[in-house]
Amino acid sequence: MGLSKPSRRVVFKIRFLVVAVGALLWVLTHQIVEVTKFSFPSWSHILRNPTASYDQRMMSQWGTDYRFPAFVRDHTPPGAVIMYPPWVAPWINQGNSLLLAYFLYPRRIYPEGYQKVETNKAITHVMVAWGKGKPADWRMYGWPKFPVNSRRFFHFPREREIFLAQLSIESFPSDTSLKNPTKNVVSSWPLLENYLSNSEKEVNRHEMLQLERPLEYLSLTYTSNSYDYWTNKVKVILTENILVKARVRANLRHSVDLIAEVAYGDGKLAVFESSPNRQQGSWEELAIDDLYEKAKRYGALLGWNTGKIEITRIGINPGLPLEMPYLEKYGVIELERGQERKNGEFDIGVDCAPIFVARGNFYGAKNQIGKAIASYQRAEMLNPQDAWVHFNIGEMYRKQGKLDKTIEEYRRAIELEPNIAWFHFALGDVYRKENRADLALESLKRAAQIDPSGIWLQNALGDLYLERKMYEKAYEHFEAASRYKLSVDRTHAEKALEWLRRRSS
Amino acid sequence: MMLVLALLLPALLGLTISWLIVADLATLERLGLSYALGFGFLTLVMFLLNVLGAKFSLFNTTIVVLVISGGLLVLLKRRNWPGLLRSKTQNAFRRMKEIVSSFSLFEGILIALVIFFVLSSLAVSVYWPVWWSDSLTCYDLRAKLFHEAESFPGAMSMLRDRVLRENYGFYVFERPPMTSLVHTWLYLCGWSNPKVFYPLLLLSLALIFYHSLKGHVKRYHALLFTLILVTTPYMYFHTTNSYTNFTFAFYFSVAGFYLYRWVLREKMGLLVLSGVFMGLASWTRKESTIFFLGYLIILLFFSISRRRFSAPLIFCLLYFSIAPLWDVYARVVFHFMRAGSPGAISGIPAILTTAGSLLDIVRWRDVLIFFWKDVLTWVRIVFYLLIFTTLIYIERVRRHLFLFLMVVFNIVLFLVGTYLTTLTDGFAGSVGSARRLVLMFLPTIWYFVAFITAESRFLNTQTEPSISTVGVDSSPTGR
Repeated sequence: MGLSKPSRRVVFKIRFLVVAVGALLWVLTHQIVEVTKFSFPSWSHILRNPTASYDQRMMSQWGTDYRFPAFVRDHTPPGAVIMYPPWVAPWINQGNSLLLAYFLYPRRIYPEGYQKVETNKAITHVMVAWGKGKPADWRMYGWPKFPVNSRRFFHFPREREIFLAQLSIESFPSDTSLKNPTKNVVSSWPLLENYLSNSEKEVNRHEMLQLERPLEYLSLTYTSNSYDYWTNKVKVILTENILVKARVRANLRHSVDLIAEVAYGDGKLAVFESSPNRQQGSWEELAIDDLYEKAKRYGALLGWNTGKIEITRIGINPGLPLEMPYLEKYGVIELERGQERKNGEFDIGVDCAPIFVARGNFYGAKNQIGKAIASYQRAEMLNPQDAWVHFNIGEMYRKQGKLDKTIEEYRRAIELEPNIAWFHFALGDVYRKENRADLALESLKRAAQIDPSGIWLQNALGDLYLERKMYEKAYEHFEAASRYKLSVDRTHAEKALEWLRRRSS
Repeated sequence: MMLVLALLLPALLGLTISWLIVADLATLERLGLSYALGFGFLTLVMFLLNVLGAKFSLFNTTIVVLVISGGLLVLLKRRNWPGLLRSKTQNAFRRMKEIVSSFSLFEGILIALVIFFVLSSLAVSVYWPVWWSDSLTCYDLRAKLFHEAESFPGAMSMLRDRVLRENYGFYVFERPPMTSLVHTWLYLCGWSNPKVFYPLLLLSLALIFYHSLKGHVKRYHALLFTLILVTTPYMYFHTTNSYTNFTFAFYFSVAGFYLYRWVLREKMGLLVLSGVFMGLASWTRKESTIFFLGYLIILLFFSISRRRFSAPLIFCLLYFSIAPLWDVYARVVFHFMRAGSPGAISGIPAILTTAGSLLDIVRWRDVLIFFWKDVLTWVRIVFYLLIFTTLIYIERVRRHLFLFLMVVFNIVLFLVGTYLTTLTDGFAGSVGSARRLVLMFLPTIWYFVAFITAESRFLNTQTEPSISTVGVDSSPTGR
C-alpha cells in the first residue's frame, strides 16, 4: 500500500482515536462501573457499620453458616471435641470440616458417627444443625438424627409464646351420670410465678390479657431449657375425683405441658406432668389424668406417707425440650459423660421428671445401668407421656441384653411418638439381632418413610436386602449410604458396593 | 507500632535487596518493588529459619531480617546509599510539587482515580475479614496453625489433631506457603486482618506497571493503562479477598515486566529481578513451572540470537533456587508423594506421560470452547481488546515480538494445562480454578496493549526499541 506520509499520519490518527478514545475509554468506563458495582455494597456497609465486630462482619457474609459455629464456639470450652454433621446436602457448609476447623478454632472436630458418640469418650459436644439449601427431600433437615445422651443443650434463642386459660383444679363426682358433673375447686389466679427452672431465658412479656375471658400470656426466649416451671400456690386435698386441667395455645408444638406439685404427709414433694401440646397455634386442652393414682403409686413406691396428699402448686412448663430431630434447629449439646456434679444438682428438694432423666443420663454414661433404669423409671412415673423416657429405659435394657424388655419399651415410645424415625430404626435393629428379619425390615422401612437420611439406616436396609439376596435393592441403599462423604460408616457401604459390583460382573 | 513494623520490616528487607540488584530505579517504583520483594524474601527467611529448627516468632524473624538488611546496607555502602538516600530526600517536597504541577488535568484525574480505587480496595479488604471459603479453609487456616504451632510439622500435627479422623494434611499443606506465611507474619505482629497485604500489593503493581511503561510511552498513556489495570474488575475483586491468585498474578506479571525490560535494556539487574519474581510466583502457587518454561523458551530464542548465553542460565538458576523448595520440603517432611498439577515441577512427568493424548482434536475443540465460554466469563472484554488492538496495530506487534510471544505462550500453555487438567478432573472440575488462574495474564496483556497502542507521534520521535534493535540501550532512561 503506497500511502503518502501525511495520509499515513491521518490513518494513524484515526486509528489512535478509535482505539484510545473509543475502545480504551469504553473499557475503562465499563471497568469503573463494574468495580463500583462490586464495591458499592461494601462501601455502604462500611459507612453504616464502621465499628461492626468481627462476628458481625462474618455473619453478614456467611449468615447462619457463620452464626451457627460462632454460637457453638461461644458455648463450648476451647478444649472441646465436637461432632459435626455429614458433608452432604443440606449441610454443605455446616458439615464442611475445614470451615468448621477454622470457625471453631482451636476446638477439635469429629465427623458423624452415631455409635462413636457413645463409645468415644473424647467427644464432648455434638452440634445440632438444621441445614441450608434445597435438599431434594425436606425430611433431610435436622441433625443429629440419632439420640444423644445430653447434659445440656444450648440453642439459638427461640421465642415461645403461650396463652393460658382456665387453669383449674376440678372435682367431679364419682357418679358420672349427673348432668353437670364438675365443679371448680380453684379457678381464679394471680399471674403464675417462676418456680423451679433449669433454663437460660429472657422473659419478654408476662401479663393477663383481658379479652372475653381473662388469658394469661407468656412470652419467653430460651437459649437452653430442660424444664421451667411456672406455678401458683394452691392447697387442695388430692382425691380420686380431682382433675388438673387448662387450655393452652402455643406457637410451637411440643413446647408446653401442665404440671401439678403434690405434697405428701411427710412433706415430700413431687411434680407430675401432663402430655405436651400437640398442635401449633391452636387451642387445646391439657389435663393430668389419674393424678391421684399416679401420686399414690409414686409415694407408695418410695415409702412416703400417702395418707394425706395435697396439691400444693399447679401451673405449666413452657420450657419443655422440643422433639427430635432437635427442632430448635441450631445449637450444641454438651454430652453427658458422668461429669462431677455440684452438690444438689440432682436433688432440688422436689422430685420431678427432668431431674430423674438427667440422673438416668448420668448413670447411663457411667455405665451404672441399674441406677440409670431406676432413675428413668421414676421419671416415667412422674411423666408417663414422655416417649424418650421409655426409649431410654429400652436402651438400658438393651445394654443389659434384655431384648424383650427393650422391644416393649421401644414399642411404648413409638406408641407415644410414632413419627420419630430413630425409634423405628432402633426397634428394627433389635429385631435384626433377634433374627426376626421381617419385623426388622418393616421397622426400618417405616423409619425410612419418616426420614430416609442417615447412613446407618441405609446400611441396615442394604444389609437386610443383601441377606434376602435382593441385590438391586441392596445396591440402591448402599449407594445412598456411600454418598455420605467422610462419614465413619461409609467404608461398610463401599465394601458392600464393591462386592455387589464384583458379583454382577 | 507493631502494626507498622509488620509492613516496614519486610519493606526494609526488600529495599536493601532491590538496591543490591538494581541501583537506579524511580523512588515510587522502588517502594513498590521493596514491598513485594520484601514480603517474598521475608517468607523465605521464615521458611528457612523453620527448616533450620527456629520457630516462627516475631523475635527470630525480626532479628534475622535486621541482620540481613544491615549486612546488605554495609555491603552496599560502596554504592553510597546514604548519599543516594540524602539526594532523594533532599528537596523532596519541592520536587514533588514540581512533578504534581506538571500533570495535566486529564493526568490528574487518572491519578486521583487510581488512588481512589486503591484506597477503596484497601478499605474493603481491611473491613471484611478473611471470609472466602478456600482462603479460610486452606491459606488462612494454615497461617493460624503456623502461628499457633510455630513450625510446619507442628502445624501439620495440630491440624490432624483438630480435624479428627480426617486427613486434610495434603489439601491444606500441599500448596506453596507464601501467602500463609505473610498472614502468619501479620498475625505475629498483631494484625487481626491479614488482608491488608493484598491491596498494598495492588498499589505495588500499579507503581511497577506505571514505571515499566513510563519510559516507553507517554505519561498520560502509562497512567491511563495503570488505571485500566487497577480497575480490572476481576483482579480488583481478587485484591479484596485473600486467595493466592492475585499474589501469583502479581509476581508472575512483574517477572514478565522485568524480563521484557531486560530485553529492552539488557541490564543484568532487571533479568535478576525477573528471575527472582518468577521464583516468588512459584513460592505462591505451584502452577508457575509450565509458564516459566514458556518464558524460558522465548528467552532462549532471544538470547541465542543476541549471544547472551548466560541469561537463560541466570533466569533458570534464580527460578529453581526458589521453585522446588516447598515441593522438596513437603516430600521429605510430610511425605507427600502425589504428583503435582500440570503447572508444577512435580507435574512435569505427568505432562510427559500424557503427551500422547494431546492429539485428541475433539478434546482440543472442547477445551477451546470451554476456555472462551466458561473460563473467560469475567475477563472476556480484556481478550476482546487484545484481539482488536493486535489486529489493528499488527505492524507494531513485530516491534514488541518478545512481549507478544510472552502473551501468546501464556495463553497457549494455559490451554495445554487446561487440556491436561480436564483429562483428570473433567471440565466441570476445572472451571473454578481455571477462571481464577486466568488472572495471571491480565497485567501482561494490559502491558502489551499499552505498548502497541502508544501514541504514534511519540513513537515516531523516539528510537522505539524492538526485538531486532535491542542490544544498544535505547530507552530514554537507560544508561
